[in-house]
Amino acid sequence: MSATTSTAAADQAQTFQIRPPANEKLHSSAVKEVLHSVLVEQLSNFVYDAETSDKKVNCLAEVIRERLHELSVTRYKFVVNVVLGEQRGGGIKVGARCLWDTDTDTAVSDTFLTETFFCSAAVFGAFFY
Amino acid sequence: YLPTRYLPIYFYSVFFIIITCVLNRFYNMDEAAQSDENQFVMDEVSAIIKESVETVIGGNAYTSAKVNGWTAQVVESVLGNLSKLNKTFKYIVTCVIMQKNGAGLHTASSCYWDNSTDGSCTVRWENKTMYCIVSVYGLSL
Repeated sequence: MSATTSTAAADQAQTFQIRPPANEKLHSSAVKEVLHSVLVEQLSNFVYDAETSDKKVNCLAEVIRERLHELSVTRYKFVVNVVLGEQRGGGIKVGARCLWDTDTDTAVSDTFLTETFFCSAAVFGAFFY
Repeated sequence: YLPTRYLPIYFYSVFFIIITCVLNRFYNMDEAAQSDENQFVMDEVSAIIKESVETVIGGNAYTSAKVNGWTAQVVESVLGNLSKLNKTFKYIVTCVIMQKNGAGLHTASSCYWDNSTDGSCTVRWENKTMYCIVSVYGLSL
Protein backbone atom coordinates (compact mmCIF):
# COMPACT_ATOMS: atom_id res chain seq x y z
CA MET A 1 0.00 0.00 0.00
CA SER A 2 2.72 2.46 0.97
CA ALA A 3 4.87 1.42 -2.03
CA THR A 4 2.10 2.13 -4.53
CA THR A 5 1.25 5.52 -3.00
CA SER A 6 4.90 6.61 -3.05
CA THR A 7 5.32 5.73 -6.76
CA ALA A 8 2.10 7.60 -7.52
CA ALA A 9 3.50 10.63 -5.73
CA ALA A 10 6.78 10.34 -7.63
CA ASP A 11 4.93 10.18 -10.96
CA GLN A 12 2.98 13.27 -10.05
CA ALA A 13 6.15 15.11 -9.05
CA GLN A 14 7.79 14.32 -12.40
CA THR A 15 4.95 15.71 -14.50
CA PHE A 16 4.96 19.22 -13.00
CA GLN A 17 7.77 21.29 -14.49
CA ILE A 18 8.97 24.27 -12.49
CA ARG A 19 11.68 25.05 -15.04
CA PRO A 20 11.14 25.11 -18.80
CA PRO A 21 12.95 22.30 -20.64
CA ALA A 22 15.71 23.47 -22.99
CA ASN A 23 13.64 23.29 -26.17
CA GLU A 24 10.78 25.30 -24.64
CA LYS A 25 12.92 28.02 -23.12
CA LEU A 26 12.53 31.56 -24.38
CA HIS A 27 15.77 32.58 -26.10
CA SER A 28 16.53 36.28 -26.24
CA SER A 29 18.10 35.89 -29.71
CA ALA A 30 14.85 34.58 -31.17
CA VAL A 31 12.87 37.39 -29.57
CA LYS A 32 15.36 39.97 -30.83
CA GLU A 33 14.95 38.68 -34.37
CA VAL A 34 11.17 38.92 -34.18
CA LEU A 35 11.30 42.39 -32.66
CA HIS A 36 13.78 43.72 -35.21
CA SER A 37 11.91 42.31 -38.19
CA VAL A 38 8.59 43.77 -37.04
CA LEU A 39 10.10 47.22 -36.46
CA VAL A 40 11.83 47.29 -39.85
CA GLU A 41 8.74 45.98 -41.66
CA GLN A 42 6.28 48.40 -40.06
CA LEU A 43 8.36 51.54 -39.81
CA SER A 44 10.45 51.63 -43.00
CA ASN A 45 7.89 53.74 -44.85
CA PHE A 46 6.47 55.57 -41.88
CA VAL A 47 6.48 59.34 -41.55
CA TYR A 48 5.71 60.82 -38.16
CA ASP A 49 2.30 62.44 -37.96
CA ALA A 50 0.55 63.46 -34.75
CA GLU A 51 -2.78 61.78 -35.56
CA THR A 52 -1.65 58.51 -37.11
CA SER A 53 1.18 57.81 -34.68
CA ASP A 54 -1.32 57.00 -31.96
CA LYS A 55 -2.77 54.09 -33.89
CA LYS A 56 0.61 53.09 -35.23
CA VAL A 57 2.03 52.50 -31.75
CA ASN A 58 -0.94 50.40 -30.70
CA CYS A 59 -0.71 48.43 -33.92
CA LEU A 60 3.02 47.83 -33.39
CA ALA A 61 2.52 46.55 -29.86
CA GLU A 62 -0.16 44.12 -31.00
CA VAL A 63 1.75 42.86 -34.02
CA ILE A 64 4.81 42.17 -31.88
CA ARG A 65 2.71 40.33 -29.33
CA GLU A 66 1.08 38.19 -32.01
CA ARG A 67 4.40 37.32 -33.62
CA LEU A 68 5.71 36.19 -30.25
CA HIS A 69 3.06 33.47 -30.23
CA GLU A 70 4.67 31.98 -33.32
CA LEU A 71 7.78 31.24 -31.30
CA SER A 72 5.82 28.29 -29.87
CA VAL A 73 6.93 28.67 -26.30
CA THR A 74 4.22 27.60 -23.92
CA ARG A 75 3.85 28.79 -20.33
CA TYR A 76 5.29 32.24 -20.91
CA LYS A 77 3.58 35.56 -20.22
CA PHE A 78 4.61 38.51 -22.39
CA VAL A 79 4.65 42.25 -21.89
CA VAL A 80 5.44 44.45 -24.92
CA ASN A 81 6.22 48.15 -24.46
CA VAL A 82 6.61 50.52 -27.43
CA VAL A 83 7.68 54.19 -27.34
CA LEU A 84 7.43 56.32 -30.51
CA GLY A 85 8.47 59.96 -30.59
CA GLU A 86 9.47 62.81 -32.85
CA GLN A 87 13.12 63.77 -33.19
CA ARG A 88 13.45 67.46 -32.50
CA GLY A 89 16.75 67.54 -30.73
CA GLY A 90 15.26 66.89 -27.31
CA GLY A 91 16.75 64.29 -25.02
CA ILE A 92 15.01 61.12 -23.91
CA LYS A 93 15.93 58.16 -21.73
CA VAL A 94 14.00 54.88 -21.51
CA GLY A 95 14.89 52.44 -18.73
CA ALA A 96 13.46 49.31 -17.13
CA ARG A 97 14.09 47.02 -14.17
CA CYS A 98 12.47 43.68 -13.41
CA LEU A 99 11.96 41.64 -10.29
CA TRP A 100 11.83 38.06 -11.54
CA ASP A 101 13.64 34.77 -11.96
CA THR A 102 16.72 35.32 -14.12
CA ASP A 103 17.03 31.62 -14.99
CA THR A 104 13.74 31.52 -16.85
CA ASP A 105 12.77 35.10 -17.72
CA THR A 106 14.21 37.44 -20.30
CA ALA A 107 14.03 41.04 -21.54
CA VAL A 108 14.89 42.24 -25.05
CA SER A 109 14.81 45.74 -26.46
CA ASP A 110 15.44 47.32 -29.85
CA THR A 111 15.45 50.84 -31.30
CA PHE A 112 14.59 52.12 -34.77
CA LEU A 113 15.98 55.55 -35.67
CA THR A 114 15.26 57.81 -38.61
CA GLU A 115 15.79 61.50 -39.15
CA THR A 116 12.29 62.49 -38.11
CA PHE A 117 11.34 59.98 -35.45
CA PHE A 118 12.59 57.22 -33.20
CA CYS A 119 10.93 54.07 -31.92
CA SER A 120 12.03 52.00 -28.94
CA ALA A 121 10.38 48.65 -28.25
CA ALA A 122 10.94 46.26 -25.34
CA VAL A 123 9.66 42.73 -24.84
CA PHE A 124 9.59 41.09 -21.39
CA GLY A 125 8.90 37.37 -21.12
CA ALA A 126 8.14 35.76 -17.75
CA PHE A 127 7.73 32.04 -17.14
CA PHE A 128 4.45 31.01 -15.60
CA TYR A 129 5.02 28.30 -12.98
CA TYR B 1 -48.45 16.73 7.53
CA LEU B 2 -45.35 15.58 9.42
CA PRO B 3 -45.18 12.29 11.32
CA THR B 4 -44.19 13.46 14.78
CA ARG B 5 -41.80 10.55 15.22
CA TYR B 6 -39.46 12.05 12.62
CA LEU B 7 -39.65 15.59 13.96
CA PRO B 8 -36.29 15.49 15.82
CA ILE B 9 -34.58 14.24 12.64
CA TYR B 10 -35.94 17.18 10.67
CA PHE B 11 -34.77 19.59 13.33
CA TYR B 12 -31.31 18.03 13.46
CA SER B 13 -30.96 18.10 9.66
CA VAL B 14 -32.05 21.74 9.44
CA PHE B 15 -29.64 22.61 12.24
CA PHE B 16 -26.83 20.75 10.43
CA ILE B 17 -27.50 22.59 7.17
CA ILE B 18 -27.49 25.97 8.89
CA ILE B 19 -24.23 25.22 10.68
CA THR B 20 -22.47 24.10 7.47
CA CYS B 21 -23.62 27.22 5.64
CA VAL B 22 -22.32 29.45 8.41
CA LEU B 23 -18.98 27.63 8.49
CA ASN B 24 -18.64 27.82 4.71
CA ARG B 25 -19.11 31.56 4.83
CA PHE B 26 -16.38 31.83 7.44
CA TYR B 27 -13.98 29.72 5.38
CA ASN B 28 -14.77 31.70 2.26
CA MET B 29 -14.05 34.93 4.07
CA ASP B 30 -10.56 33.63 4.81
CA GLU B 31 -10.05 32.70 1.19
CA ALA B 32 -11.23 36.11 0.07
CA ALA B 33 -8.80 37.79 2.44
CA GLN B 34 -5.98 35.63 1.09
CA SER B 35 -6.79 36.30 -2.53
CA ASP B 36 -6.81 40.04 -1.87
CA GLU B 37 -3.18 39.76 -0.85
CA ASN B 38 -2.39 38.39 -4.27
CA GLN B 39 -4.34 40.85 -6.36
CA PHE B 40 -2.72 43.68 -8.23
CA VAL B 41 -4.03 46.79 -6.44
CA MET B 42 -3.74 49.77 -8.78
CA ASP B 43 -4.17 52.49 -6.15
CA GLU B 44 -1.40 51.18 -3.97
CA VAL B 45 1.02 50.85 -6.87
CA SER B 46 0.07 54.26 -8.25
CA ALA B 47 0.83 55.86 -4.88
CA ILE B 48 4.22 54.15 -4.73
CA ILE B 49 5.13 55.40 -8.20
CA LYS B 50 4.12 59.00 -7.50
CA GLU B 51 6.08 59.08 -4.28
CA SER B 52 9.22 57.63 -5.90
CA VAL B 53 9.13 60.05 -8.84
CA GLU B 54 8.60 63.06 -6.57
CA THR B 55 11.49 62.03 -4.35
CA VAL B 56 13.99 61.45 -7.14
CA ILE B 57 13.25 64.19 -9.71
CA GLY B 58 10.81 66.40 -7.80
CA GLY B 59 12.24 69.87 -8.11
CA ASN B 60 14.92 69.30 -10.77
CA ALA B 61 15.26 70.62 -14.29
CA TYR B 62 16.14 68.30 -17.19
CA THR B 63 19.92 67.71 -17.34
CA SER B 64 21.21 65.26 -19.94
CA ALA B 65 24.12 64.25 -17.73
CA LYS B 66 21.88 63.29 -14.84
CA VAL B 67 18.97 61.67 -16.66
CA ASN B 68 20.65 58.23 -16.78
CA GLY B 69 20.99 58.24 -13.03
CA TRP B 70 17.45 59.50 -12.57
CA THR B 71 15.77 56.74 -14.57
CA ALA B 72 17.83 54.16 -12.71
CA GLN B 73 16.96 55.66 -9.33
CA VAL B 74 13.23 56.01 -10.06
CA VAL B 75 12.98 52.46 -11.30
CA GLU B 76 14.99 50.99 -8.44
CA SER B 77 13.05 52.92 -5.84
CA VAL B 78 9.70 51.78 -7.29
CA LEU B 79 10.88 48.18 -7.47
CA GLY B 80 12.19 48.28 -3.91
CA ASN B 81 8.88 49.56 -2.59
CA LEU B 82 6.93 47.02 -4.62
CA SER B 83 8.93 44.10 -3.22
CA LYS B 84 8.17 45.37 0.30
CA LEU B 85 4.50 44.68 -0.39
CA ASN B 86 5.40 40.97 -0.11
CA LYS B 87 3.02 39.78 -2.78
CA THR B 88 3.64 36.76 -5.00
CA PHE B 89 4.19 38.81 -8.14
CA LYS B 90 6.89 39.28 -10.72
CA TYR B 91 7.25 42.99 -11.51
CA ILE B 92 8.40 44.84 -14.61
CA VAL B 93 8.96 48.59 -14.20
CA THR B 94 9.70 50.90 -17.13
CA CYS B 95 10.47 54.59 -17.00
CA VAL B 96 10.63 57.18 -19.79
CA ILE B 97 12.05 60.65 -19.07
CA MET B 98 11.79 63.14 -21.91
CA GLN B 99 12.79 66.76 -22.23
CA LYS B 100 10.00 69.21 -23.04
CA ASN B 101 10.81 70.34 -26.51
CA GLY B 102 7.53 70.51 -28.36
CA ALA B 103 8.12 67.06 -29.79
CA GLY B 104 5.35 64.49 -29.69
CA LEU B 105 5.58 61.17 -27.83
CA HIS B 106 3.38 58.08 -27.97
CA THR B 107 3.63 54.92 -25.90
CA ALA B 108 1.70 51.67 -26.11
CA SER B 109 1.90 48.30 -24.49
CA SER B 110 0.40 44.93 -25.26
CA CYS B 111 0.38 42.05 -22.80
CA TYR B 112 -0.29 38.34 -22.96
CA TRP B 113 -1.29 37.33 -19.44
CA ASP B 114 -4.10 36.28 -17.14
CA ASN B 115 -6.60 39.11 -16.84
CA SER B 116 -8.00 38.00 -13.51
CA THR B 117 -4.71 38.05 -11.58
CA ASP B 118 -2.32 40.31 -13.49
CA GLY B 119 -2.42 44.05 -13.99
CA SER B 120 -0.57 47.19 -14.94
CA CYS B 121 -0.42 50.76 -13.77
CA THR B 122 0.95 53.78 -15.64
CA VAL B 123 1.60 57.20 -14.13
CA ARG B 124 2.37 60.35 -16.13
CA TRP B 125 4.23 63.07 -14.28
CA GLU B 126 5.57 66.38 -15.53
CA ASN B 127 7.24 69.56 -14.45
CA LYS B 128 8.31 72.63 -16.39
CA THR B 129 11.21 70.99 -18.23
CA MET B 130 10.43 67.31 -18.56
CA TYR B 131 7.88 64.50 -18.75
CA CYS B 132 8.22 61.27 -16.81
CA ILE B 133 6.10 58.19 -17.61
CA VAL B 134 6.42 55.17 -15.31
CA SER B 135 4.67 51.85 -16.00
CA VAL B 136 4.47 48.90 -13.64
CA TYR B 137 3.36 45.47 -14.87
CA GLY B 138 2.58 42.81 -12.24
CA LEU B 139 2.51 39.15 -13.27
CA SER B 140 1.10 36.78 -10.70
CA LEU B 141 2.93 33.53 -9.95
